[in-house]
Amino acid sequence: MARVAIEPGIVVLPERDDAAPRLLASRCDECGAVFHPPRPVCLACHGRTLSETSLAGNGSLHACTRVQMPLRPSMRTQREYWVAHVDLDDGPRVQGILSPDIGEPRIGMRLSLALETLRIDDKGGEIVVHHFRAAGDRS
Amino acid sequence: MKVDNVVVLGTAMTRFADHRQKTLLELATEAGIAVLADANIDLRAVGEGYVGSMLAPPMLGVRIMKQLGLTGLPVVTVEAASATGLVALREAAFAVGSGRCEIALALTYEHAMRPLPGSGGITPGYESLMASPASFALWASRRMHERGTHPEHLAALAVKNWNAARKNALAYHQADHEVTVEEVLGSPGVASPLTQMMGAPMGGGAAAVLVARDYVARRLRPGEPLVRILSTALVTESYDPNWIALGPSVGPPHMTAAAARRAYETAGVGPDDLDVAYVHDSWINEELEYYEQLGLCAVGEAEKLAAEGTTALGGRIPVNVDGGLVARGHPIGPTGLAQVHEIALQLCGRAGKRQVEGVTTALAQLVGGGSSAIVTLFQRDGRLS
Repeated sequence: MARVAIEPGIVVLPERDDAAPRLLASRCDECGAVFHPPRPVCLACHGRTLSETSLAGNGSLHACTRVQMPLRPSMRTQREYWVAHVDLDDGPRVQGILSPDIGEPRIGMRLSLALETLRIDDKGGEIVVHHFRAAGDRS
Repeated sequence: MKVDNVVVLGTAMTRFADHRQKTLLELATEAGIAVLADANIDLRAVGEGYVGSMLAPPMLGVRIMKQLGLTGLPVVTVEAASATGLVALREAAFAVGSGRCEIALALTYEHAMRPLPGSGGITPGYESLMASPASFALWASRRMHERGTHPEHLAALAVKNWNAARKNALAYHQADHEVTVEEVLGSPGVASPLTQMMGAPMGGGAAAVLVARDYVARRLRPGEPLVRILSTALVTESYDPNWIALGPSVGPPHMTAAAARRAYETAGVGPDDLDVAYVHDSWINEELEYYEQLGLCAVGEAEKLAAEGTTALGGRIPVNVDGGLVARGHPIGPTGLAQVHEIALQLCGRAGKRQVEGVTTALAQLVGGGSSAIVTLFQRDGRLS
């Protein structure tokens, strides 16, 4: 079944179902600063040549909150979810959601990137969103 | 930027409430007529108008000015999300300070009871993946980790503002009893550790401020004290490699420190000179952060400052004694001018049951869309009779 990211330009979907997704990013050719999502102009040095790259999405939890209101209308089925700031090993601090199976997350815990199926659209496509889960959790 | 010789000539606001029975035009007209009456001036004396809201339809400001009989003059719409009111005041102050006109009107209004478009209420897409409570809750999460802040610290501060609003007839929340920490902690969760009673109600309302050259005010009100605008500093989020580079989303708390530093420097006053302050407590943990960012205490001491009652009515530097956003209400557009209305009352000794003793210098701070911050300083010139 074809997998479709909930929004284009954010995540690189793996070819194999059991592989991890990557985060789409841009790296400034002049100063090396990395941004996710990609940007047209470097915020650090104002360079205008940035190359597309992707990030593994491994990192540690900087801050998190359990949100008890819908993230967006298409996700209303999910009653509660965690939103986090994550410090990536190979990139900047990013925001994202945590896996519903995260339990009670601890600041500093190791995280890795995974995909979660939200729903099947009317063309049979699998709509996925990326989230961070406890590193080593293969479930 | 320094503001020379510009004073507050008149202020007014409607109550902040669930105004579903009234149209936006009616609310704004009510505040506009009230401010013209407060300043007791001829309509034709107003040289420029700065109108604003976050969600109003295009050109509504011109229609409102027409309702007030203010035709022919330049009218400019300002939008800076939660900071709209203070940004409208800034533009009005510069219109007068630059000599373009002698009197300018800032008028802001909102009917935020209508559902906000999109999940974050700002733009659809990835950048709105987080609703504002989640963004501010992430500040709280980090603060709890670094400083050992407890939900009880946050609840106690919300209690201060809820109970302060009991002395403000124009506040959204009018609790019929002393609100307690247990009630705040027990209200429905929104984004941990934040609960519903730690966040601002939106509702609707309008607020207006007239500013003038000081000689105009002296001529109109000989012998009366003047409320001077000393300085105002507006910044947007600047790049910080330790912060998510998204926007409009909630930037780092230190945006407020950047704005405050500029405002203090240009005014030649510092945090020790302040007698009263009004800050953007759209979620109560923000108030703790701003105590430090505004220099009311050292970094890491905000919980202690709050626990000692320093920022409550009767303390050394009372903060949000009108109830703040949490209890006075935060319809978004008009919030900043409600702060200025309150500051004018305080500096002129007209704040009634919530009057702070011996006030001469005041600060107003807001954060807009999480990605901008504004700090404006006021000082009374002359003695109260």
